Amino acid sequence: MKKQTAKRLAAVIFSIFTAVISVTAQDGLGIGRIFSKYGHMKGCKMVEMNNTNLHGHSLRVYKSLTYKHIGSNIETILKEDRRKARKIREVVDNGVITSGYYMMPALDDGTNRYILFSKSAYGSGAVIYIEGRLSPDDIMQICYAKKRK
Amino acid sequence: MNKDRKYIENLIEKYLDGDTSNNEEKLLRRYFTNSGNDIPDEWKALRALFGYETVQRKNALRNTRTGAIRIYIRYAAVASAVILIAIPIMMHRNGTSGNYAVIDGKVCTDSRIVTSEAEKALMMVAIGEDETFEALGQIQ
Amino acid sequence: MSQNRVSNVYTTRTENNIPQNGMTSVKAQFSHRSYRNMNIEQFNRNIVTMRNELMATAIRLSGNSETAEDLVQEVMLKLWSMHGELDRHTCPKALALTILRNKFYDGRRHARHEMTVTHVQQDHGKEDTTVETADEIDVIRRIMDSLPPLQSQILRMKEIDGYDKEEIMKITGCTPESLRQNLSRARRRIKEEFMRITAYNAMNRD
Repeated sequence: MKKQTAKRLAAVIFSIFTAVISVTAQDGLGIGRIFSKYGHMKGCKMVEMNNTNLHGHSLRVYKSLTYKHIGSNIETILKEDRRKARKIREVVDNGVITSGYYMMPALDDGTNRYILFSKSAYGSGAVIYIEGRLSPDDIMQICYAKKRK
Repeated sequence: MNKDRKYIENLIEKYLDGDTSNNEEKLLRRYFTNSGNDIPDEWKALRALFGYETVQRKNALRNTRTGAIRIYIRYAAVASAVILIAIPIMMHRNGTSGNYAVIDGKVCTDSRIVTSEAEKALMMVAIGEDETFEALGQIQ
Repeated sequence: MSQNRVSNVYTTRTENNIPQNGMTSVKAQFSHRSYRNMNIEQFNRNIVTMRNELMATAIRLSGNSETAEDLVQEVMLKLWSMHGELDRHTCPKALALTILRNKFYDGRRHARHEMTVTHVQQDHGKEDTTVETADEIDVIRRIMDSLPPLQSQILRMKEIDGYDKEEIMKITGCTPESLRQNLSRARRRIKEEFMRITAYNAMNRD
């Protein structure tokens, strides 16, 4: 039956395609949507680095987005990830959360995932997504070590 | 021996009348496969016919086998084509092809710019006074 | 006629033949059979219902109910050989009528089927059985080619493609007696022609 063969073929193609495409681990999180939605927008800067070394730690994925004006959209999406987070660290300034990080559930192979963020009152800010074999201590070192001294 | 001959003769008549069942035809074929040359001339036509049919069936089997293989090859070809198309897309999303920055919608692969933008973002996140940082450190 | 359930062959088109009895695994046989059964039922429901109309046209064309019956059966077999693509045709009835007319005019053009295969080349060399058998089979092939198309098609479906008598009846919409007759005519023809040819060759060899 030619029709059946065609349908079967289409199903095979589709499943292979989706399986191959959906490999990135950040896609399961809201942060993935943030990158895909706003990464190419005007006034935004997105950086993606793979298998890179930052401040002595090897990161499998480093992705960041600095943005202007869309702070509330970002916040809405990040709330999802906050709910799923294993560990939350936030800096509260005058009753307002201004920065922090979420430690997300690790991947099957033990790789950790972190979402770092910072926001200002004017709708601008930055979000960073990091994947790697590093502990929260390491995150502290990388991201906040600069401010020391 | 003669009884068998008689039985076969009856079967053959039935066959020529188009009246045999599938099992009876099976019997006839088996008989002719094993009979050798010691059969009446009149029966040789049937032996030839059954031989012809066996050859035809073998050809048909070969066609199906290759047909099935052909179908698998077709599926495999499509699958590999899909994967070949998908890999560059995947790599693009994963950035396996390299590090890049997107500034105001424009892609930039200059590694200096990429790293400096990455550091800028980190700086933004790592805000706060030293006290804030220490407070964070203590909460651990 | 006792119908014994022998699991065997499956054909959608004539070029896709799977032989019977020991040449495919049992599992494959059963799955092929159930698939084919479903298709025959469907085919029977959709196509064979237009048989009466086809018969009327065939009788009008040929003026003879026997020829008409043969024609209609041939049309059914042709439709069966393309049943996988039938849903593409918006009007299968029109298609069937077209096939019917084409077959009728083709038949007229070739008048009588030449049944006489007067001379068949045979290897006059060794007398060993393998050579003889191969030649025998070749004789049969020529005879099959010269049979009336309906007879050769039905014989092929029965003996090579492994269709049951019931299945053939469902596809062509013919009566058991009609099927029996066609099988009988084909088989007897083959036997007679074979004997005539081999006798002729035996005479000429000496």
